[in-house]
Amino acid sequence: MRIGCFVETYNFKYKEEIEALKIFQATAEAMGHRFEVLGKDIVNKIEEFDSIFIRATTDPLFTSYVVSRIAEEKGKKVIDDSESIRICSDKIALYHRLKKNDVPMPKTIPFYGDFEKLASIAEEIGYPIVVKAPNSRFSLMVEKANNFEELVSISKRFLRRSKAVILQSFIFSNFDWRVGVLDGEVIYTCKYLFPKGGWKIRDVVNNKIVWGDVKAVSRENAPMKLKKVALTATKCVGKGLYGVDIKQVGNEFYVIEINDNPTIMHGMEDAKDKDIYEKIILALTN
Amino acid sequence: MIAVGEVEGGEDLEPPDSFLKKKVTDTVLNLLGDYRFHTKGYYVSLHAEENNCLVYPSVKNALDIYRAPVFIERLRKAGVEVPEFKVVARPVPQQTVMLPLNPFSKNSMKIVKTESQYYRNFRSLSMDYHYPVVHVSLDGKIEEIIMHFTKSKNGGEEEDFVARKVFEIFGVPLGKIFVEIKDSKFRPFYFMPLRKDEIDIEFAMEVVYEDRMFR
Repeated sequence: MRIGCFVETYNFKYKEEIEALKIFQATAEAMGHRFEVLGKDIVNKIEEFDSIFIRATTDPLFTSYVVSRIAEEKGKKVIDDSESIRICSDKIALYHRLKKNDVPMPKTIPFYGDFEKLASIAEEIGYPIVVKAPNSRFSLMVEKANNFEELVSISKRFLRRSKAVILQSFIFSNFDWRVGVLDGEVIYTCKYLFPKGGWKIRDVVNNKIVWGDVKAVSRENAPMKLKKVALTATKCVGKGLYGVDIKQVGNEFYVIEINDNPTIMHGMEDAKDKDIYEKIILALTN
Repeated sequence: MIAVGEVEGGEDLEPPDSFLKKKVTDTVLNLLGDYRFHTKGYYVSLHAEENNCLVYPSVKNALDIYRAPVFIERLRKAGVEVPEFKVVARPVPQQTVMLPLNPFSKNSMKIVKTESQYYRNFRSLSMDYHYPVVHVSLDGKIEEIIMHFTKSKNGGEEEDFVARKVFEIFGVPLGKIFVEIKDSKFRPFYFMPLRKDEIDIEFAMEVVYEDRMFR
């Protein structure tokens, strides 16, 4: 089968991601398929492929969404499907899905800009409060408010670009679990460690952008309950490829968010579970 | 049926801010006119769907309709005659009609006749070469149809026919359809949101009742 892989120039920024793309290609070819890496021109060439694998950042406002929708309209298998992109790119939509399906998550309330109600919402959640723009990604547009003044200021700033924000109670931890799920199966697990002095994997410490380390944990050895929570969460989004961020508090697990199009870097997400490439190629060609 | 909107003359409409706080159980007509991602119109449709209600437009259709390639492809698939298009990531100067691929671009359709016009428009539509641009091959006359459900606010039978087709396929109540008219044939190729002052709520509701829609 012919697999078209949609990438953008930033997919070649880190050598670990370039390596991962090469492994995808080698794995696909070893399995008897063709794997072609293409840029934005792929929109005009979708007909030439049997399935489309999107590695460029996904968002309903980006080219990736058009690639996904055109592929669907032409009856192609596509990862990520447009529904997963839509739900995971909008924290408000994701919140509704998780809530409806009783997925454990920190206290979360969507806020549509009615500032008269903000103080009572803040009281209900309790400080510190994490404020997230609905389309936040890579920890960007995710900030922590320690008091009402900060909450108003951050919310106003984020609401300039969207009609809603997510307000969420802050759970202290040194890392987030990242659980990779493909079509209802856990394919890898790892810990996204926070940089020293930070509270998210990409943070600003002493005015410098710093990234935390990734520590892979074999999926066999990851806590059962963690995997169960991740699967319950992804089930309410779809059957695609997801990276679920989860906080652990004692023996309890709380879903922070679900990302479609999760980062896959060689030596990081694949460090313990090396068969993730094969599993993804299989999902694209089945 | 709940009609949500916030325009002059729309006293019977449910304001979006109060709608977003309610538990909804009825069919929803979203009359905000702009349903792009992260707008209030989008969140009204999302809220209705999360309450398991039938809503016009659905979130999926709201996202599809403003993306020119998806708009054209779905119309083509439904048997509507549409022009050819090409997505270009780098400038390919030519006389053409250019559209933004990304719906947050405030720039509308551009008719390009000269090379300097082309480069200027490519730069602005691609937001400084960041996003691709759509070329549409047109040589007929271009017209805008102000669509209110199945009717055109500014045209005759042909325009009404296009509005009805687009509504049947996408279920988006309000918007502006760009069509190419050539040899008396209307070929739609682009869809844009309506500004508040372009929305005629009285006309829209007349169409709903005349057409016995949503019964």
